Amino acid sequence: MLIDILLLISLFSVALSLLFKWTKTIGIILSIINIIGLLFSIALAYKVTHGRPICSFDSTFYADSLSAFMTLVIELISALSSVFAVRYLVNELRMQKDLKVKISRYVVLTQLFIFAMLMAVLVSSVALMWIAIEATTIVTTFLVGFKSNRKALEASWKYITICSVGVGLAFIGTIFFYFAETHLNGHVVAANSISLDWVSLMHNAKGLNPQLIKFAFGLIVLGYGTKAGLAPLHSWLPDAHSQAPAPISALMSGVLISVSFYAILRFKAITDIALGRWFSQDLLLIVGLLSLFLATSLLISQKEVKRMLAYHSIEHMALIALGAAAGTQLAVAAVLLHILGHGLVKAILFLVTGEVAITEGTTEISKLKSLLNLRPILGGIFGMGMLALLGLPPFSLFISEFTMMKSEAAVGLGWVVAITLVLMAVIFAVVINHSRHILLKNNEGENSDSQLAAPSKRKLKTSKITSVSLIVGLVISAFIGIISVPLQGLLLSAAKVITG
Amino acid sequence: MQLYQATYLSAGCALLFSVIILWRKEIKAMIYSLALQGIALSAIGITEAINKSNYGLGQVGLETLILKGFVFPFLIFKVYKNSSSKRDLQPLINTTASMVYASVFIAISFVSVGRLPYISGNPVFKLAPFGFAVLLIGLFILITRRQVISQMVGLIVFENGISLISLLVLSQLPLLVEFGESFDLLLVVVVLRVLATTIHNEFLKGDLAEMKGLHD
Repeated sequence: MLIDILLLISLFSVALSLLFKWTKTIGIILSIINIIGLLFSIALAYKVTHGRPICSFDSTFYADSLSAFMTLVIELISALSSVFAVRYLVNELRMQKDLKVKISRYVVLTQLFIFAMLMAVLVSSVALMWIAIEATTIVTTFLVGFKSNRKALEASWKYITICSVGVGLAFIGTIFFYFAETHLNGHVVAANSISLDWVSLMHNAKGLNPQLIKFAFGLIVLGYGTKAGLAPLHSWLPDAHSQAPAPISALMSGVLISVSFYAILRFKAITDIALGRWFSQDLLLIVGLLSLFLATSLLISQKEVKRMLAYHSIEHMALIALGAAAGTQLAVAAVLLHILGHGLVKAILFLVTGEVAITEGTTEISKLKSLLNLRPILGGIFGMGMLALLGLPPFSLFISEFTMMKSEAAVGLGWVVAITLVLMAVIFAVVINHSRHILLKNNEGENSDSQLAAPSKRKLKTSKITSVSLIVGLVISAFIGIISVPLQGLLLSAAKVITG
Repeated sequence: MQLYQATYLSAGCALLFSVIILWRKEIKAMIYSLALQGIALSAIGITEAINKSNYGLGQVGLETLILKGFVFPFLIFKVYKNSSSKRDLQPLINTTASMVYASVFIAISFVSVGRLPYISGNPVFKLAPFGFAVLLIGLFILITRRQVISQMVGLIVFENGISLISLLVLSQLPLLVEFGESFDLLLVVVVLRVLATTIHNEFLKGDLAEMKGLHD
């Protein structure tokens, strides 16, 4: 019943945005609906943690604690980004009056995007999940290209071609999983006695042919890894995340990449039963270390804030992959906490950058100076967000990173922890340097002409409602970091779905 | 048995057309070959349907014929008509080397996928290596060509490879999944078409080499 309500709420907001032209009121109503969705997702999480997984629509939809957790993350980030979207779109309209039609389309696509992500985590069939994840690519392509300048076009072209290839590879992986299931224990099995859903795949996992599963899981990691921003097919991510409008970047960087990683986690559970833990561990270690290395080396030379944040997403997905490689229940729980913490903080940072783009007219690191002085609230949120992203206490990313590394060391992957720490130290130095420049650097001297260049934008006030919602987000992150008690049950029970 | 020969012949044709697409530089020729490849794919579905008297497979074959034989090539042709370039003159790797790569891909596919367990158990399963070869060649076209249209063609060749591989489970796959997949693909191609037209208006020749705004 709860699953139906959640999907219906999301469908309702799609219908609402289709039927009415976007106005500020509609925007506010949509934010409220998204917040209601968040409340229902909390209810769902509570129900499955304290009871059995629930099904609906003839088992088409299925929610165990893992799906419920992902639903919670999706709804949380959606609510946050839809509040900011009102501010963003009002500002776009103020700049260009003829954008009305485009903005209405933007809102419809955003709501469809959220609906597709919810479908991806709530359907029981792996094939339907694949269709939902492919659908997210289709609807977000136009959102990435929303600004329709050359750079945005280039980003959306790269995005759709690379992600279609990635998701195509994941489809072959899915086919091979199914093919293995039709040859259970070496016998051909009739189609009507098996099905392509998680429960049935987990149940039959022991009888799947190991060689087929190796091939299939390799394709799954490569394919869904593409959409999760993991190497080697990560190159679309910095472009798409930096060119998309801020609320969309927040959704893409905050949840979309984690939804793809959710798919990898589910298949990992099946693979681990069929092959033992070593195979998925080796594969995730290779992908994770490669991504971490690439993200670190490319972060150093970044000149633009959104692009820098995008590379941070690759870094954090790499950390998540390494945590998942450790594979114990505690490690997976930390991975999930990291997905939540990173999603929240990354969304806040993208949104605050969007607000900075509105008030300051630029997001280039060299042109942003002394933000803390000029805009104390925005600068403060940005600074705190950056500290949270770097994994400092009291924010939840500290707890999750610490626990992931502890679990890695516990399963004999101490060398991985060592490499991770070295690379993270490099990132720490680079980011502190950039942030110091943005927040504290003195505003005198050669900077005076750039201030004159955008006098009208300087007058814009920081939006109060945006600041409040972002501060609430940061407080939640810190709160989860300090006392993870309300989440502990959910996290551990969700991790148990993966580790068995 | 003769029907299986027809199936193999069609699969061979599908592979051959992907090599032809890689070989030709005239965009028109690439689009025609793509259409022929789509027809070859649908022929597999239809002969299989007759062979097993499976109504669902017939539907899939028909849908492949419409989408891959006509709709996709037609959509790409519309982009082509809008553009000024008739030939893809500067692929990143020249034709001779591309042919060598193609033969390597075909060899890899038959050695790797062809040797997976159960693949030789059923005449239709033996088509999976063909599919993997088509897929790799499609990916190669996508990576080495710089024109928007050639990249679209490459992506569809890649997807054609996937549909050959999905014959492994096709008779068991729920039709909902099969149609969902095709519908998604249709949407991807429509989105690509819209984007390609915008890129052509914006960048004149649709040469992606001009798109260097976002390099690191």
